[in-house]
Amino acid sequence: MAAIDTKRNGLMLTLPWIIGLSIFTLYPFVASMYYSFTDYSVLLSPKWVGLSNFEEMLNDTLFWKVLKNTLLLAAMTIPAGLVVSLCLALAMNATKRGQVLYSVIFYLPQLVPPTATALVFMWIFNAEYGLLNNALKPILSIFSSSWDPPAWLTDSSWALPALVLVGLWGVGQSAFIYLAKLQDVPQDLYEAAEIDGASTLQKIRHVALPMISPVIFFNVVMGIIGAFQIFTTPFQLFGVDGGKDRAAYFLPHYIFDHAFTYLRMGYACAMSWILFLLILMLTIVAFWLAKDRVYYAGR
Amino acid sequence: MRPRVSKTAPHPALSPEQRGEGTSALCASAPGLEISIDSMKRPYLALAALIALFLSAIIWDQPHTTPETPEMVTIDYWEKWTSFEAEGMRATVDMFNKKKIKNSKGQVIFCNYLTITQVDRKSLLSIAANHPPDVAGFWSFNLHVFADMGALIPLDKYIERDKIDKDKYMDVFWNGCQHKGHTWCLPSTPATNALHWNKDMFKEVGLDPERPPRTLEELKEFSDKLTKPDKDGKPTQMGFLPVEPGWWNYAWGYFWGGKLNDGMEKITANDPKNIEAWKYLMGFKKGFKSEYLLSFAQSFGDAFDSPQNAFMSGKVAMVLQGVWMANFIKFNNPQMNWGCAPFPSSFDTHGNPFSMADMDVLTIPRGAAHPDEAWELIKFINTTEAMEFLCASHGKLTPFKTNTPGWIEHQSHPYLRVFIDLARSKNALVTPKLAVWDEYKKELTAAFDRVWMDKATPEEALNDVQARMQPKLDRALKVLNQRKDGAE
Repeated sequence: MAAIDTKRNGLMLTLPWIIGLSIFTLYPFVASMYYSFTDYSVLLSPKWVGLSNFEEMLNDTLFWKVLKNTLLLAAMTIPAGLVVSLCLALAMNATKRGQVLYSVIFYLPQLVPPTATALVFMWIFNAEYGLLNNALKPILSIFSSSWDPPAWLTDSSWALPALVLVGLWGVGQSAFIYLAKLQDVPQDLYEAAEIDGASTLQKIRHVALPMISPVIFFNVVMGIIGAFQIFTTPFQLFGVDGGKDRAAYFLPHYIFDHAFTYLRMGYACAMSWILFLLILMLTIVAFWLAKDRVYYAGR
Repeated sequence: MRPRVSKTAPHPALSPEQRGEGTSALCASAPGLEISIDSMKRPYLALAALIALFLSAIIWDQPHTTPETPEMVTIDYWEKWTSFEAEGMRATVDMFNKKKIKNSKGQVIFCNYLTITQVDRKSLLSIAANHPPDVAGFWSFNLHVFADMGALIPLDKYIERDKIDKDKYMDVFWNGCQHKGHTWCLPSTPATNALHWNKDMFKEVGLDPERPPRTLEELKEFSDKLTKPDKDGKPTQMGFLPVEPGWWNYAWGYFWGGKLNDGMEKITANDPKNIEAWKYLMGFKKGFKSEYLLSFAQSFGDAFDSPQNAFMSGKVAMVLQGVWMANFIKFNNPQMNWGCAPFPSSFDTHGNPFSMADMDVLTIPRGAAHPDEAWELIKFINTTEAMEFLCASHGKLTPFKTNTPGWIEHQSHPYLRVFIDLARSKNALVTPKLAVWDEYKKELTAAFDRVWMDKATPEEALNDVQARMQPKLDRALKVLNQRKDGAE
C-alpha cells in the first residue's frame, strides 16, 4: 500500500513536468518525424511524399557544405574548449589564494546573453578597428611588414577560427565543473605519486586526469550536442547569409531558413532528423570510446 | 543500512516533529523515512499550487482578443516598422481612429497598431495557428508566396465594391499588388532606388559636383578618379563599390538588359547579360586584393543607419540606394552635400531608366477576425490625404500617379522627383513573383560574393545558381499544381 502511495505521490508531483514534456517536446519530436515524410509549408496541410525529402538531401550540394561546416566547427571547438577549460581548471586548482575570485571571473561570460556576446565580438573582430587586430598588428610586424592580421568576419578562411575563439569565451562553465571535480581528488593519491617520484605533469597525467575522467566525458558529450546545435552566435556575427562564401552557414541555420523563410517545413524536419541521428551516433561513439577510458570510483 | 520505520511505531530516535507530530518541513524530506498522513498534505498543497499557477498562466496567456462592444470593434494591425517610420504609421492610424469610421453593423472601428519584428515570420505562425492579426504589413517581394499558400484574403471583392480606381496608382505599384489574376494587397509606402553621389568628394578630385555619371563607362571613369589607395596598396576611399550596401547584387543584370526569369517557370540566372554585368562590376576591384577590399568593407560596421555608413562617412563616393537614404543622411550627416540620379544602364533606355521598385503592402491574412473592418483601414490609408501624410512622414514618394499640387515641393527629401520619375519609368521593376524567390535571391547574393572574392568566375557562379534553382522551381511548381488539382 505504502509503495503504491509512494508511486502515486511521485507521479502526481512529476505530472506537471510530464504534461509539459509531452506537449512541448514529445509531440513535436514525433510530429517532426511524420512531417519529414511530407511536403509541409506550415500554412497548408502536410502532403505525404515518402522519402523524397531525404532523396533531395542527398543531391543538395549546399546541405553537404553546411554539414561539412558543422562537422569542422565541432571538430575544432570541442577539443579547443576541452583543452582551454581543463588548463584553466588546473591552474585555478593549483592557485592557493583567490580561487573563488578567479572562478567568478571565468564564469561571468557565461551570464552574458549570446546575442550580446556576438555584438561585442563583432567589434573585437573588426578587421580595421577591432581590438584583436590592433593587438595582433605589432606582433605580426615583428616577423614581416607585409603580414596583416586576418579579416576575421569577412574572409571565409577565418570564419571558423573566429567562432572557435568566441566559443572559448564561454569555457568558464566547464572549467568550473572541472575545478569542482579536481578538488574532489583525494590528496593521498597525489602524495603516493610524489613518493613514487612523479613530476607535476605526471601527477596531472596519471592522477588528476583519470580521476576527473567522468567529468571530462560529460563535458565532451555536452560539447558534441552543443556544437551541432550552434545558431545564435554565427547568425549574429555573419548575418542571414552565413558569411562570405557561406563559410559560417551551419546546419541549424540551414534548417531554420527552410522552415521559416522558404516555407519548407517538411524538408527542414527531414534535415533535423539527420542532425539528431548524427548527434546520437557521435554520442554513442563517445560512449563506446569512453568505455575503458573513464574511471568511476564507485564501480 | 536503511532504517526500517513503520507509520504506526515512530522511530524512538526521532524528535516529535520528525515523527510527524509537528509541522516541521523536515518531516517530508527526511531521507528513507515513510511520510506521515498529516505531512502528506504538504506535497499535495504544493502540487495544487503548481497546477493553479500553470492554469492561471494559461488563462492569462490567452491570445489577445480585442474588445468588442455594441458600439465599437477593435482590429489588430501588425507592422514591421520601428523608430520614425513606426511613428509615421501610428499617426496615420490615429487619423483613422479619429474619423470613427463605422462598419456595416454601425460599430466604430478602432485600430490597434502593433510594431512586430520579423512580421512575415510571426504572421506566418499566427496564420497557421488561425489567430492572425486583421491587417498585416508585409513586403511586396514575399507577398506572392503567402498568396500561393492561401494565407491571404484576395481584395478583389472589396476593390470592386468600393470602386478603387486602379488608374490612380502608378503601374509598377499596382502590378506589384497583383498575382495570378487577383489583387492581394494595397500599398502603404513605395520605394525605388537610384545612384547617390557625394558632391564634395567629386569636387575634391576635380569632377563636376552637379554632374553624375550618365553611362557605365563614366561610372567606371569617375570611380577610378575617386578611388584612393594608401602606401601599402590598401583602399582608403572607393569611387563605387558594388558590394556597398550590396542589397541588390542579384539585380545588376537588369541594368545590362538581362533577366532573372522567363515567365514563372524558367530561371535565367546565367543569362549572358547577367554574366556581362557581373564581369563589368568586378572591374571596380581595381586590382585591390580581395582581403583588402573585405577589410575596407568591414570598417563601415554592420549598421546601415549609422554615421559609419560607407556613403555617409565619405568612404565610398557613389552608391545604389533607395528613397529612404535621405532620412538617414539627415540624421547621421546633415551637412553632407549629395545628389541622386538614375543608375546608368548599358544601353539606351529611351528616357526610361531602370530601377528596382519595392513597396510595403497592407494585407488581410486568412482567418482574420474582422476582414471587412480591416479593409476599411486599408482603404483609408489609400486615400490621398492619408497616403500623402504617411509617405511624407517616411520621406518617400506615394504610389499614386498624381499628388496634391505642391505636395512634392513641400517634402523634406530634396530629390523626391527623381524617385517618382523612376517609378513612372517603363523599366521600373518589381521583384519576380517566382515560387522560390527568397531562396533564389539568397543564392544569387551568395554567388556574387563568391565572384567578388575570386572564388569563381561570373559564368561558374551563375551556372551553379541556374543548376541549383531550376530543379527547385520545378519541384515547387509541381507541388503547387498538385495541390491546385487536389483542391479542384
